[in-house]
Amino acid sequence: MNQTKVEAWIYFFLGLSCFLIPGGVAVFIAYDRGISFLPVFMFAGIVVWGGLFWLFPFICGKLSKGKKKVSFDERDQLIHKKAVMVAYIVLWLYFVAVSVIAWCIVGPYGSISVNVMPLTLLGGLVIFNVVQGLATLIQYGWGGKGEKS
Amino acid sequence: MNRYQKLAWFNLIVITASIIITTTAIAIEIHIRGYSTIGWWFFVAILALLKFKPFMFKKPQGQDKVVCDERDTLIVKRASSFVYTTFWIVFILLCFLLFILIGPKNSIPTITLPLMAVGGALFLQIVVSVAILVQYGRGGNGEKS
Repeated sequence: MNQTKVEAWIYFFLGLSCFLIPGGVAVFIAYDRGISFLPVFMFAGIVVWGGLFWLFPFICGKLSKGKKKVSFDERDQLIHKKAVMVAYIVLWLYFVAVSVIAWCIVGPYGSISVNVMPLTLLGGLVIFNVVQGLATLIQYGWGGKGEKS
Repeated sequence: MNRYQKLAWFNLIVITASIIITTTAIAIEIHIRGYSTIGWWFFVAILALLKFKPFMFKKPQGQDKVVCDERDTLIVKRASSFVYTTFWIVFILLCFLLFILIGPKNSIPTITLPLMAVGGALFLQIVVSVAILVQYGRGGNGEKS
């Protein structure tokens, strides 16, 4: 299993659990008891954690630099590009779906809390990471031929 | 000028024309008889021209006709990648700006969300068209199709 595949698994499982579970709990608390310190703190933590998560590839790159090994070739680059593109397309579809669904549920003359906007962003972040990880894993396939690094 | 450049110019012209004509129509209407939704129908009607792109700029038919080469494919891919990255940044800015400007205890009309989606789609079209035209540059060497 090469470095990109490991990253994809980490994005998929750790990212999903770290974003989705605290995010879901925070939404539930905010919905049940209203906006208070706890859900806001959880959202802030998720955003900070998500920001740190984006540093993960750079840290991995720095750590493996001294080993003088090839860990990323043209095929990996192509897979990464395709996965990011798929994630962006799904993100765009998610954004359109959220807009239309909220409009349909509440009605054209209703109003929604502005807190929905950061929540939408949070959902977008989760979906982006999950889809990118999933697309990477699907492209590599189940086999592991020539992917050792 | 090849097919992609023509499509990019067409997108930019239609979107710019629809914004200018709609703004003018709404301004005149407000001045004469007050606001109504007719101006927005102008907007939708002009934007509907974008749907005629496949009929207006047909792909060359026949075995000896070349639709696009590797360079064109690379330019379109890079433009798509750039536009989605830009959209992600704008999406984050929009969400946080609304939250910060309006305040966490206030609410927004639901029509804001579909408008954001439509605005986002137009933004994507504009940025991808500009990115394609910028990458092709001002010259037209070898870009005839």
